[in-house]
Formats: sequence, structure tokens, C-alpha cells
Amino acid sequence: MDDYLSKPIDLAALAAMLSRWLGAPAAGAPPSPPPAPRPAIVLNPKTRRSAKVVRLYLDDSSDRLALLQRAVEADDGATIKAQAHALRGSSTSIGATRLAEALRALEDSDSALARTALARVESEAAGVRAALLAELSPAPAHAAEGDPR
Amino acid sequence: MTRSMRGRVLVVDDDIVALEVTRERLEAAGFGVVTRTSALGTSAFIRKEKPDFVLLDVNMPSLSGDALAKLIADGDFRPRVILHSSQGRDALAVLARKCGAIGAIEKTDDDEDFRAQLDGCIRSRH
Repeated sequence: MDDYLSKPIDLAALAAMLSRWLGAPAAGAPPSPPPAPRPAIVLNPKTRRSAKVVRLYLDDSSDRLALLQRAVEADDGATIKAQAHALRGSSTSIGATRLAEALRALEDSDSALARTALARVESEAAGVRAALLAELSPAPAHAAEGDPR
Repeated sequence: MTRSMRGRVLVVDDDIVALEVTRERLEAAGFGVVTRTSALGTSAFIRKEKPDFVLLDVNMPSLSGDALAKLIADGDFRPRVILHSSQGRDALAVLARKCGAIGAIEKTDDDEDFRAQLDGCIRSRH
């Protein structure tokens, strides 16, 4: 035995003991940074996406998502895996990394978890779609406002 | 398809989005590119077009990329084959060795990563 606390446990005393054994931060040391939050990136900015590719993806993915929804409804495991895999490939290609992760989870899910996995896919897919549409239709420049012509 | 300095690449992928992204990446890397969305008929296409490299998706409905790679290896004109898939890199590397491909590229959202994997495959057999 290295140390002890007598009952009833006093939380302050417990904290002090743990600090003593685990090592408190040295005086003057910078506080350790909080854990990095998961990046809230719908689309990887490092991925080059031409307008042609974005349009192809928007058309292709809406059909594939509909097929996935039907397959989950019908509990058709083979179609779920095939369509999730296909949509994961194209989503990875355009930089929709989080959607691709959600699709991998759906691809790997068993029948009991497919609906939950699909809900995550649908949520991520909606975000990707909105971001891609925004890329295709950038906001008009302010210079156009007040144009006397 | 024009003859380019780094060679001509035939890309076969049933996913039109991945196909187009791959075409753009290869053209940016200095390759001439031709594409097919169906694996069936690729052997005849290769005899006619004589590409330097063939980039094959693995998971295709009519004929898998690794099965097609074996057909290509048995043909009269044998371009260098590279597998291209969202399977993990280790599994892909094993599959590539089994089917006679010079290497494999894991599908990626990072253009630079794609380029690095491609260069690694090409260097490995030059």
C-alpha cells in the first residue's frame, strides 16, 4: 500500500492525493491544450472539385441514396452493402470524408443497426449536398449592388 | 486521347464520379487519359488503344478489377495495371500482387495523396 484515505471520502482530499501521485502540473507550465475537437468539415478543402464533377455527384448520389433507403426498408443486406460501398467511393472522391465514414458504418452494419446508420448517412448527405450547391452558386459580389446602370 | 509525356492511362470504373475525378487528377499529373465505365470489353479496347497503364476499380458489377487484371496479363498487349479501390491499402496491396498488378491506389479525398500513391506505383516497376 502506498497511501490511504479514511472514510467518509472527502473529494478535495482525494483530488489532492491523486495530484500527488499522478503529478500536478509544474508551476508556470502552460496549461495543456484541450483535446482537438473533431473538425466540422463537410467537404475537404484540399480536394479539387470541378463543377462537372459536382454536378455528376449531385445527380448520382441522390439516386444512390434513394436506393439505399429502399434497401434498408426492405432489409436487403446485399444491396445496402453494394450501394453504400459505391456511394462511399464517389463521396471520398469529392472530399466528403465524414459522409464516407458514415457510409462505411452503414456498409459494415448488421440488420439491427442499419436504420441508425442510414439516419447518420442521410444527415451527412444533406450537409454535403448543401455545401456542394453553395460551391456551384457562389454569393453575388457586393459590387453589383447599387450599380447605376 | 493524345500521347502525353508521362504516358496514356485507361481508367475503368463503374462510378462516373470517381471516374471523372480520376481523369482530372491524371490529366493534372501530365497523363493522357481515356475512360470506360464497363469492365466488359476492356481487353479489346486495350488491344486497340494500347495504353501504357490501366487503372482498375476493383468492385465492379460485371467483372471485378482483379479478375480483369488477370485477363489483361494473359493478353497479347500487356499495359501495366494498377488497382484503384476504397478497400484498405494492405488488402489492396495483397490483391495487386495476386493479380499481377504493379501496385494499388487507395481511393482518397486528397489530390496530393493520390499523386504520391500513383508515383509510388509507377516508380516501383521502372
